[in-house]
Amino acid sequence: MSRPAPALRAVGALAGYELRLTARRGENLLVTIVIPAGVLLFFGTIGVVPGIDGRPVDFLLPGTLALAVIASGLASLGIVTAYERVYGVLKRLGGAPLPAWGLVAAKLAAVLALELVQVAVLVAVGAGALGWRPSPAASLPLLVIALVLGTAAFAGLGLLLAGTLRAEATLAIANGLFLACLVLGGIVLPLDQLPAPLEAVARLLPAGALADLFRAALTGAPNPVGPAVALAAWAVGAAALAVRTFRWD
Amino acid sequence: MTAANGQARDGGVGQVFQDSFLTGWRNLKRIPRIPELAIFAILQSIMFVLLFAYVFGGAIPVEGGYQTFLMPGIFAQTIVFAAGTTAIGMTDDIQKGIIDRFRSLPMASSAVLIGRTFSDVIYNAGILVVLMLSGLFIGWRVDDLAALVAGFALLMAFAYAMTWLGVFLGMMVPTVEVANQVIFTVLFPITFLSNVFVPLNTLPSWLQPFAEWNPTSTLTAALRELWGQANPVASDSFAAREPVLVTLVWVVLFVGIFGPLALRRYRNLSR
Amino acid sequence: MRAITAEGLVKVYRTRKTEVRALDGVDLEVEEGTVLGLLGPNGAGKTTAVRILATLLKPDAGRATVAGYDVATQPEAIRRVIGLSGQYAAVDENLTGRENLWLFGRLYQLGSAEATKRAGELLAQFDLVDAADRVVKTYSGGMRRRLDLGAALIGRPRLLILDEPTTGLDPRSRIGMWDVIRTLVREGVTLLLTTQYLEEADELADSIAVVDHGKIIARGTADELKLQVGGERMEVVVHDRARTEDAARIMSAIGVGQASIDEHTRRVTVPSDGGSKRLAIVIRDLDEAGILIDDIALRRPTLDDVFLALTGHVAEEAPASTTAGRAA
Repeated sequence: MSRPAPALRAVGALAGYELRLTARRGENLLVTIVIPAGVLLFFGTIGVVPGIDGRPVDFLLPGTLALAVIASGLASLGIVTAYERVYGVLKRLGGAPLPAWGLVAAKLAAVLALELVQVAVLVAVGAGALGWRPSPAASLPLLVIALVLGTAAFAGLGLLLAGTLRAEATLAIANGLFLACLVLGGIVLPLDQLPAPLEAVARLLPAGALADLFRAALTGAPNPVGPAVALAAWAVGAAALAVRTFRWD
Repeated sequence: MTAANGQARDGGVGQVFQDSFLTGWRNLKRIPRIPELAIFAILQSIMFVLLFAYVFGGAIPVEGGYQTFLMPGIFAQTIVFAAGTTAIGMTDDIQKGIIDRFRSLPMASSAVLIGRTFSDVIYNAGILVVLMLSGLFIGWRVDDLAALVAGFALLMAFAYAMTWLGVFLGMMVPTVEVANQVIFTVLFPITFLSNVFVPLNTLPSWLQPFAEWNPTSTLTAALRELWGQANPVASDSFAAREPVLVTLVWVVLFVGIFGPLALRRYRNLSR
Repeated sequence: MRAITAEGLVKVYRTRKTEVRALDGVDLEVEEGTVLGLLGPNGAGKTTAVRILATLLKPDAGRATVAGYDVATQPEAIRRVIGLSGQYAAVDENLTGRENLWLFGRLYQLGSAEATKRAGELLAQFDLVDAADRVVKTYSGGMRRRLDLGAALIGRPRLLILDEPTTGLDPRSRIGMWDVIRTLVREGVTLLLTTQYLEEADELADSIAVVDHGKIIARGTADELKLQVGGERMEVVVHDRARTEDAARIMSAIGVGQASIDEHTRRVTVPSDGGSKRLAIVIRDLDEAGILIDDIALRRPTLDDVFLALTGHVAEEAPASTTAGRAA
């Protein structure tokens, strides 16, 4: 009997199951898409972003892409997993002949699939309603890297919350962090517009790095190496901590 | 009734009142034991103050300053989100089986919802007081005490309307996660497409009629009017001229529609 | 007098694509002062039946009375005389044990002093005095179930409905729970009990109704049900998994009826009517066929055998419900 093959097949099956579950949770799809798209439209239509050169949409679209990743990776995944723990679904899956990484891989696959839909919708809204056009310096590979690194970092944080805190606490904190990222994440407001102490805090958070990485991917503007390294560090840190602390029941 | 049932009393209004008081007592008792919920409700509002004060603070000129303009909107937004707290609490109670326990007891059936709406209004009053105190720190002032009390009362009336929307939504969704998502999806747009963060006349013109009659806007406008603050309007519609009255009509509509719907839904949980 | 009667109860759950007949014509009768066990696997319809009798759910067809009151027209009267505990009617985990009991006592329309007194009695009775003023979140599974049972008893009900009172408990807590329930029954409470555990129904119930797919497929006392599936069983644990089929063939020829195989435990079982003689033949024939055995026994039928004979599957092997939270 070869070990890895059945494990992989089980992960594949579970990923399919998670995907179907995600698709069936229509309201989940809605909230992770409607809010970033709403934020893009609202700030794009008002057309006020202090302290930037160029058109607001070029700043806002990458920002809301980051917000979308935060919504599905941190908020949605974290909250759903926390309640799965309460209901004992996780314990059942944890008891199945499937390694823990398999469960995480399956969940991440479903999150990535959801994010592709989000990217499509946000780009369509940006291009359709706000006249956004890709710059010649835009880089698709860098966009993919940003998605993957962002997902790793925020899904790691979401699972860290879900695996250690009570479900009610995860719900409240994930919602709160989501809003904190909206404010302090360089999503709609450039970090250098924040007062110095807040800016210092914000620079250390992963949301700003992710927004910068998306900006690098779409406009080629800032240097992508710094943000990419910062995000990778968050991803590794969150994953390491989540692995150590995760409780299945 | 036999003696084994204890001292059985008559049903009627007395029992509704007493059972509502008891379920409300239970809800309030829970608040300090799940402090995260209250803390993050307050943090959420503070986040919005920070965000919009920095984004629009210099960019949108309003008479009296942007922060003075913003605070009534933040209070209104906080109270609109009261529906979320209530919905999540209600769904949680159903999921955990507490509602089934209540329904297996010889208690007044409306008491669970009445207790829930009243205790959540008290909870939101607490949140609002904390927010108003923090507002003082960033320079928010209301000079007229009577106006402040009137505004507070209007906010509480609106909170009551929102809790009925909340209990109804809470009974319509299967899980707490879904309740959270539905609330975010419904409440975010109605607080954003309003005069909470920007004056109505800066919104795109096709959006203005919706934003003008949006209950979040009329509540915010009512507070600004009561507190004697600038409130740039987009038109001279009835909603713009009589925001207090229109807000009260919204309250009556919400309670009048969602109250009976919620009570019917509760009785039909046995379907 | 009958504490519970039910005739032709039907409950259908419809979703967009599927239609599940959770109850498909259930008749029940429980005499006052007796214990009826509803026995069946997950998803058999036990909880649906309990929810209808506890006035939490309306049936689509059929009628039922509890303590002489009609569930459709007199739910209020029923709520005054029943106590419900189980998977569904829960306690509040953010209140203390004492607060929970006091609250439910008050809502049972006891006066405040009476509710306080009753809460104290129940906490003592169920060995929760030390934990009385801690929030329920900190309780163990067994403590939580005892508190839940206490909540059901707060109004001294004549009729107690317990829905899977020991599901998920460890063996020690389960036996403790059984003692508590036995004491209540001795005091004269009428009890309707649902369970997935055959052993539990055997321990606690005067009569048993076996439920599967929304229908009652057998009823009687534990002994009557055992008689219904014939005499004793010959049971062999085969050493080599590959030979279980061979052993089953040989044993089917010796016993009455088909031998059944449990692949997991390598156990082969066949009904028999010939006592130890037949067992000797089994040993001889298996030996001649070169099949090694780890264990052999002649035993009286258990409720497991009853279930297997009636439904063709073992109760515990029914697929667990996959829906989280509120089951359909």
